[in-house]
Amino acid sequence: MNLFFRLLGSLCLWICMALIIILIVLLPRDTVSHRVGDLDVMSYHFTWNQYQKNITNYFEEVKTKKSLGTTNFDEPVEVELLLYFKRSIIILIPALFLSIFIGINKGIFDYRHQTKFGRFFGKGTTWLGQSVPDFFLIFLVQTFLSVAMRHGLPRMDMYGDDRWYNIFFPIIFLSMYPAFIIARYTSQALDTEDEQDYIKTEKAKGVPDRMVLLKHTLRNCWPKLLQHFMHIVLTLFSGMFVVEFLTLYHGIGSRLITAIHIRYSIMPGEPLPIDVPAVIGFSLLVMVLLLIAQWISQILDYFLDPLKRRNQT
Amino acid sequence: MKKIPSLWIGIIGCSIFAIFFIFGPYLPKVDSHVTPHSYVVGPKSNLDFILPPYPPNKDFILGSDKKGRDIYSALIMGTRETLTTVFVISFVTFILAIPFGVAAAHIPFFSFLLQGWNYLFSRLPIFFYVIIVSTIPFFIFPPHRGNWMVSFLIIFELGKVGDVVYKGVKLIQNTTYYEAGLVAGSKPYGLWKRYYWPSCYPQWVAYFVQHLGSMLFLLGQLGIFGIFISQALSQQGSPAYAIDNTALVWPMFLFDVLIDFDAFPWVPLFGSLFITLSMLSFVSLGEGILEYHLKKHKGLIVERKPFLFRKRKQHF
Repeated sequence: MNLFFRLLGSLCLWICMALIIILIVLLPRDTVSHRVGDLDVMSYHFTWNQYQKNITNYFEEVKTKKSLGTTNFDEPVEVELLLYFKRSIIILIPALFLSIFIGINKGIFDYRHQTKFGRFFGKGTTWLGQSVPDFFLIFLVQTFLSVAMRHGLPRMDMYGDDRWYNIFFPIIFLSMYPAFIIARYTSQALDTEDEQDYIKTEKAKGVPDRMVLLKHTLRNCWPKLLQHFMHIVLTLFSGMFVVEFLTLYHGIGSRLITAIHIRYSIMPGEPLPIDVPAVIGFSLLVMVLLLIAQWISQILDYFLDPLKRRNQT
Repeated sequence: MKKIPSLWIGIIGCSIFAIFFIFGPYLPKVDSHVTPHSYVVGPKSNLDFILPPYPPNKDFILGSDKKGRDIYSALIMGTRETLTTVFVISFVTFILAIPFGVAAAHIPFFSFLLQGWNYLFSRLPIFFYVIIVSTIPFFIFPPHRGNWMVSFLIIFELGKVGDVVYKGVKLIQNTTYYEAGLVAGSKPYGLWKRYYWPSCYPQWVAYFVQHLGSMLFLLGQLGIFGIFISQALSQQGSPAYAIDNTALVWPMFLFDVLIDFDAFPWVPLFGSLFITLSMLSFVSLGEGILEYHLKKHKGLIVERKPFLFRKRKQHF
């Protein structure tokens, strides 16, 4: 029951956030300009009337058409959502699992190799990986591969999404940065757990290191690691925009960027419209995915941490 | 101190960037005005004009961008503006977040406020908020764009940092020595001075340094999409106004990357290399500070008395 209320709480907050985002997106985007000498002075033109009209129009349309609207490409938002959702989810889910897998194994490696050289290859590489932004990794790999292809490496398609193997590069790029963060959290959690008395007792009694690690230390670390789950998912999502853009993989991230029309030049006095239905649709999609992640984290937290459950009931 | 390599790497890296920051214009081969070259005369004859961008060569150590600006000079001259922006964002965030977090640990009202704030802004990627907000026309027009963008970043980050402070303080409030302090009648100022600050500040300093790194990462990501902190409108020939990035910052070399990358990969590569190196020094400095204090806490590092103090004592 307690779990249910917590899930409901996240849902309520989620609805508030969604409303705020929709209200921001529906802001009127008119500008005005007047000339001073030979300069155009431009400014933002906001009227409550226009804002009200935007909001009522949009909700009317949603109500009558039973759809979130039509995008600039004359498609109902739902059709596009499904298409891009399928594309993005097949890189997001494997990337999440890959980063968790690599991260936890790397963390255990760092924890077990604390000698002079072990530290260099273990923790040293972890903080090295943590400070390499995903875009630099992408530039580096792409430069390296294109040079290698010029010198005889078989040609392969690094960009786009029209071939089945196009998903591999985005998955790898996406998972690298979160993986190192997870590795750091894991080795930190293992280190603090290592100092506990029960572990010392166990080691003194002669239980093999492997057994101690798998059965006791690691199991007690799960709740601690789970606290960082949302942080990891968020990193993954903000990485998604960059990775999809730089590998020309047309998923939710790059579609949202196109819909939002980042301006590089403007005419004086013209409105600066964005693709409102698409932005709302794709923002809601991103938010739904994050809500699901939040729920998974709450449910896992409930079942993995027996202490918390006992305290609450 | 000798045995913590990450601290050393961090200190050395940060001092190199400090040198760029302070002595940038006086370093060898740095063109302090970062002049754009519209052409360079080639070696063969007078009519042999070479147009930018230039690949790395003798005159342009790291090459030049499309406007013919020397990337090496631009990166070193850009250190000041980039690091100042990042530093201002992180510093103001921390200045606001520390009292907020401590107040939340004491007063229930602030606790609710912090939780709400954190929920509102930390459940979506900050990057997503920034791109949504930065396309509202009000924030596109120049006069206050920079200030607005910096304040937004501070607002978005405040909840997260406040929560870290709150958790650190809560951890201390659960200890028995804190209770002893309360029973002995410590006032809030005393609690802060003797309990919170001594055991929290290493964490906060480390987190602050790493926060600098993460802000730099965010600015880099935004730069790829052509969203900059300060932008200006400039008219070039046609009636339309171009929205240009006015500040000389590192992320500006990441803009237009899809076009640049194929033909002249050195532009985004060196730009992002600088971001990576500075992130590396920030992250390792943060890690080093934490490790140093952890070791000190365990008693592995014996604190020596300060040099001057000891000398004066010998005189007496």
